[in-house]
Amino acid sequence: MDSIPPITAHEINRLMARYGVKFGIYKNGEFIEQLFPFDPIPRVITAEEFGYLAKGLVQRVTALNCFLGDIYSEAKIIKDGVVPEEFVYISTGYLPECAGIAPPKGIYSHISGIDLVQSKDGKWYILEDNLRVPSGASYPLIARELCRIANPDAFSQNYVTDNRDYSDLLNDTMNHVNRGGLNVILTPGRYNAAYFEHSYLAERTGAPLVTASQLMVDNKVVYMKDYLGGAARVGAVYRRISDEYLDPMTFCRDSLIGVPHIADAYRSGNVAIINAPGNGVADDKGVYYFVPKMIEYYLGQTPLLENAPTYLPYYESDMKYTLENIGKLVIKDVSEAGGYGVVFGSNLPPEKLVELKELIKREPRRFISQEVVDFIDLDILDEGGGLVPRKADLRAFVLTGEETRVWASGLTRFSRHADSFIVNSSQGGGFKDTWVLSL
Amino acid sequence: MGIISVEHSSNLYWLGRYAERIYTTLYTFFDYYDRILDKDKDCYKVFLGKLHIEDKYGDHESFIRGYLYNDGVAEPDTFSVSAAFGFAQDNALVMRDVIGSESLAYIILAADAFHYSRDAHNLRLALMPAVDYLLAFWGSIDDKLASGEEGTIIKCGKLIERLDLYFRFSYDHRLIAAEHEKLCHVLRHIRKGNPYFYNTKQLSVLVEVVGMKGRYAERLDDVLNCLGRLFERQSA
Repeated sequence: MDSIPPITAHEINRLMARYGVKFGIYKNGEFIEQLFPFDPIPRVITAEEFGYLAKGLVQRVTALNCFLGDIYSEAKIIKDGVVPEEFVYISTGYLPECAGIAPPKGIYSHISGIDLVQSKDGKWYILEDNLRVPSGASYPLIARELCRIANPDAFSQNYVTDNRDYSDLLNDTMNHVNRGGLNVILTPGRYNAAYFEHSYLAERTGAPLVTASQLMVDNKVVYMKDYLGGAARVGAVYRRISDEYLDPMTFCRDSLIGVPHIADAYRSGNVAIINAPGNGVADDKGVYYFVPKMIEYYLGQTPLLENAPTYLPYYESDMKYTLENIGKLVIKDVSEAGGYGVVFGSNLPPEKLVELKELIKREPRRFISQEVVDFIDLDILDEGGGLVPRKADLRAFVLTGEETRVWASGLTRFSRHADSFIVNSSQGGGFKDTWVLSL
Repeated sequence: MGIISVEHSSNLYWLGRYAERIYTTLYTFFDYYDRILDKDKDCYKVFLGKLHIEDKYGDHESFIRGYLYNDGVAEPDTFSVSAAFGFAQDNALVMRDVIGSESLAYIILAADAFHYSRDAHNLRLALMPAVDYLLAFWGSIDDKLASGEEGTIIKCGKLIERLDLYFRFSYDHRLIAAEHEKLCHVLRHIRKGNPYFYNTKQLSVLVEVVGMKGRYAERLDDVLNCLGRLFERQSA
């Protein structure tokens, strides 16, 4: 890479505002839309490094898909004692309603968002798998488009792999499992935090963006209703709705944003649901511990990418280690997401540490503990135009259709506060473009 | 041509109406603003009367701030230009996949330019960019949805709103006839056979009133009612 010509954050954020690049949050019961702060200095990944990451990510997602297929059918991995059944059947992500259902082409996780961090010695660690409704791809996608307008020299002077093929990858993924008919993107509606993403991906893929009221199920077939009273068959639904709200007839009965009987259509093989319902069992923070074992079990391979060093208080030895070292560990509540339920032992006063230890002893399945990976800082521009280092992670997007491919980009999220490890947008984090160099 | 759902057709129609409401009311507002400059301070009351809006403002200065920006009013007025921008933006945001990010951007830019004008001393000058962006929006819509049914629906909303306002303000009958002709042209492109939305029964009243070539006040309620129901949901 030669250099990155200067650009002010103001210019690019103005373009973001022009195109309505926002995300929503609920604060005190009120829906507020705000700009997702963008830092114009990209994260740069070399072609060689990306090649290595891609191999590891494909391996991991392949194993996770095998796990999901196994858990909802024969559950051999449990019978063989590799994963304890407690970590599967009492997981809130496990849906008994999905047992025995084979999704089209056997794919469960079509779009996987895998969170990684890079430690200061350059080694990459997997921090989290997101296999339900991972969001975020639209932000680096539109950011690249806008950066090319705002700062064309950066692209003429460097060899950056074009990331604007995400909509093609997504279309290939949807088309591969489509059971005949339209691909549609199902959104909970305008007041969802990720509504920008839903609408932008719909625009880019050409798949209609629909709410539940625009779909209907007749004789176990999904249709999109036409304003003239007609209907067109739907073959694949890229749903951006959580499992529990997807179908009030099968899951949460109070759901007003779901499509009644869509689970029947799915069960009958008449529609593909992307991602498959029930994937939450595989991205549970407790199950995360077992993913390297899954890779060995299903693929007979050594994992190429490692987990952050993790302990399960469920196991006696891990409980002992966790309690003895709690002051230097990060404790995560497996039922929480979005950066919530994460506690750094070093930040807690002694009395709170005692309380936490008691809680872990009472509910060992509820927590994991991890060594704090001192991941690298990336420079961002501060308001005065100076460079300041901030913690940053990377969400890589892995798409599984005819083959499993890693999008040559990703969402780099950074903490906007010095000394904070929390990068989530819902907690004030910002994002960067992720460049994968082509040479 | 993609499939259009009931919700999308409604959003397109109202996007057309609100975008046009902003454009035409701003132009009409400028006429009255011009009269205010010539010391006809109370003419704003006529403006409000034509729109059937209660005079909550008290004087011309409060009217200008309140009607445009909702400034100084206890509760935000849904008839204000500011509110119309909000409604236009809401409908545009949910139609990004149909109208495209570029068209949506012009609505956002127009709304931003409008809000920036709030603190300007010279309102007419400061509001010009907002009007320019609205025109760019329509150009973008023409480009993006040139021959599709989505374009027909949004233009239907636009022309119905324009005629509604032209009738209220008793515009010259030649102007009204020209807009009516455009509306008929657009309606001819709405799919026939199952008029689920296009309420043809209302068209005869419109044709009759346009044929009066003026004196619209006599049939104003009828024609406004017919315009409001021209593109409505029929019983399924």
